[in-house]
Amino acid sequence: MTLVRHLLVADVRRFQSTLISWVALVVITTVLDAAAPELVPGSSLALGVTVASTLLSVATILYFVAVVAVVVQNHSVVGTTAFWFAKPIPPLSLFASKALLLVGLLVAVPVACDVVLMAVHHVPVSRMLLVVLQTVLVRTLAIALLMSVAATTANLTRFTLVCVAALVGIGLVGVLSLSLLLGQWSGGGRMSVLSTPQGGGPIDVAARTFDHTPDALGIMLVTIAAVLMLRSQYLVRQVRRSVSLGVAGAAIAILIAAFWPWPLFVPRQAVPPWANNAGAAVLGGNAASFGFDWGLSYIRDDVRLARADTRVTGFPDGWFATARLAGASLAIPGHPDLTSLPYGPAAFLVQQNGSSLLSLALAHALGVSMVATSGTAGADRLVTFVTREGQLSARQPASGNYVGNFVLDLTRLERVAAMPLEPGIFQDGDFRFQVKEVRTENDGLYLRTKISETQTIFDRRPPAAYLYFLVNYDRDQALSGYDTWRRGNAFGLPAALPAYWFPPGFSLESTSMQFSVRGSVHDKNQRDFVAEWIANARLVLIKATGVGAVMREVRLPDVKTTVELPRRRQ
Amino acid sequence: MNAVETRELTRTFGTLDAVQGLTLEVPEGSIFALIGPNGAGKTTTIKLLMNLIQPTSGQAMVLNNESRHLGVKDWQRIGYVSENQELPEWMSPSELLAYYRPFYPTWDDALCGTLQEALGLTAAGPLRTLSRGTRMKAALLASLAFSPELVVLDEPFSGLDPLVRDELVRALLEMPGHRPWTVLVSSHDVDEVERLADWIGFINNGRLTLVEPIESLLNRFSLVEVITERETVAELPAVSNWVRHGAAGRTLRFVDTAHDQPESLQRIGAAFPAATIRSSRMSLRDVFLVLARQGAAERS
Repeated sequence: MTLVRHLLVADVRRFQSTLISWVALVVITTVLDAAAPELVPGSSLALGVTVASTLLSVATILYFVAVVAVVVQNHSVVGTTAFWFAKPIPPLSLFASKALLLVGLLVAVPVACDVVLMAVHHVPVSRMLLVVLQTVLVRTLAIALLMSVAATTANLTRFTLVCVAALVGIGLVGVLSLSLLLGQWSGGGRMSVLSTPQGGGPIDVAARTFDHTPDALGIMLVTIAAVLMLRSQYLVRQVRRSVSLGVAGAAIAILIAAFWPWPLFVPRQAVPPWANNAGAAVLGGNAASFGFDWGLSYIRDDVRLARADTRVTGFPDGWFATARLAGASLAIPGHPDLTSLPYGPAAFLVQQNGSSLLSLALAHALGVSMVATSGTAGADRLVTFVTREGQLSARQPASGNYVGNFVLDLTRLERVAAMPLEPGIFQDGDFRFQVKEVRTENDGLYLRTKISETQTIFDRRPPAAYLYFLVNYDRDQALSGYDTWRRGNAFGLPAALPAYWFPPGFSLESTSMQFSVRGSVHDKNQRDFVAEWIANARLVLIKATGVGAVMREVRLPDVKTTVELPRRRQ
Repeated sequence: MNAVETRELTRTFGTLDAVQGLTLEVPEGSIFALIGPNGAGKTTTIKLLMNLIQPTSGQAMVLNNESRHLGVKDWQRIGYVSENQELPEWMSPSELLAYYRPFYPTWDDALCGTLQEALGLTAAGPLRTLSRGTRMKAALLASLAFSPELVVLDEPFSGLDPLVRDELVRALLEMPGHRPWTVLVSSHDVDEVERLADWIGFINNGRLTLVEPIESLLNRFSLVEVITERETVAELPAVSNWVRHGAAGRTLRFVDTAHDQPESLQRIGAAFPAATIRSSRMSLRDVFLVLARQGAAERS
């Protein structure tokens, strides 16, 4: 331990200016990111801060990579001429000192900045710990991988070449995987595609129900593989052997993570008792509306989608659901049964009377009769069957009996806040909504807000999202807002990691919300009603919570297999 | 006892046989010089001994440990300096000593001070700003200050001016110590080696062609001049110990590599009965050149 400390102190002295630069870079970036939401959007100062923050974020990533390479290669681990070879410097002590320095510098400093920011935004300690744990794991993985490359290359040039080659390789593997995945369509194999509500609706809670156990496990196991590779390289200094060990270890780690059978971090969702009743959430369809089209012609010409009008009954107030295809079959006389691929984008559901389930649920949660939304809650024709053209054309013209199974993702809507139209704060656990500025204009209301929350791979709480409405209870009317400008920062993760597949940890974003009163509601008696409408309105926050899913079956007799061609891609 | 022993040590790089079947013994307490021309295999041999590269076959024992298993405990007994070895250029000489000090249980500050004085190492500032000689002095000092049992030097004099070479040789020769220590030095700077070494190993084309005490070698090798009465130069008979060294006018020169044998002079007299014969002791440099030319001739 004494020797590790000695080596560490020597490296700290050696890289004094690098350490100071890094700390300054991280602190300045954090301060700029934190300050940006406080500035008026569109102002020259805000623009300057945005540009500076973006440039510094890129610099931080490059600096991160460079610091690892320089610190490791300061005591080169390849070749025969490094100054510490043939000296009694314990290789594992050297490795430990490098790892401690890099983790201390590249993990502890950003984590400390995150913790300060989270404390400022009143994130509960339990949530902070999860964010910190995720940040530590992700950054440690990045350090371990970069150390592995640095320890098996002779200089910064080769390190850079290997990193670039690795990035290109990962890109090629991604493209290849995508091609193979798409290729499975023509082979009729299974394909799993993330389903989100059509039309980009505001409620994407169903998309947040991933089990991140493979992510967490993969990060930890690949880190261990990288550490074992580094241990080998420091002890034996045989690049081929160490790289083989590392690649094999990483492959095993990824396989274990991919095929891990026990979900540890799946959100806890309890399907409400009413939904288990066979008479609840009943899905029905109209056989006459069933028809195939060229639905995926923008991806592949040979895929045909069937859609049908569906209706749902048996939903209590305050609940709604989206539906997506889980599997289906078509029994056509004289032919083998045709089986659907288990793909289908989710669709909003409508009730028997044609009313949107979402609109009804929103109206109930908001406590008003009329809700004007920004065009996302309309009914969709549900995708009921997905197949290949070849399989379908062999059965045309024909008709058959259809049986489909659908997943209904249940969402509960509840009002959590009704705020006066003035600067103020609403806090719900780690979620913090702050109104910074309220501005009334001719056509409606503009809000400048700051929103912070945490999401991690360890989350087991039901996925939730918040929706914002301007409600005038005197007029019994509500209207939804939309973002005019949004700028977010996901602290705790390298910016290179895309947040859409990996929870961003702590996120802080500034938003300009617009509530267009004139475009949404009307008053025949009063031409200039906007100011009065807003004066009596409140800002209401609805929390949408995903509570699980139920399966429902739809049977449609005598459906047609002909393909209708509204248009074909040229 | 031998500080270093190798048995059929071999190392190949692709099709190049850098070291071939090298069998060598370095007696404990000796100063053993491994000499040979550039590319002869000296540095590869040293790297094999220091476990910097692995042998293709054969075995090397260093301080009674197999070279491929040398570890921290062994490095605490070995001082290694190589012209090829990088230095932590950002450190000053005093920082370099402070850096290495905790790794050696036998580090002797008094010895370090004495050596520092002997080498005249007073320079400050990062090593990258210092002369090659000063950097080599710093490296040598860091490798001697813990009283190593074995000092391994790979081309330590290369590129240094005569004054610095002299300081290094004196530091090695006059190094105070309480126990016998062994020096293995590889070099093609034979003048310094002649002052320093008491054993010589000559390596050429990856093969060790000669190993013996330097005094014995210098006694054995002698330059013989044969001056004939006739107009033409004498022919050199095919005798295994005689190596033709040249001819000019009526004078034939050859090297007798067994001149220390009592019958040597009689044999020369019998071969050149009517000639004047003069023999002179050779320097190590001359011996080196003879051996190197012989190796080149064999190779061609």
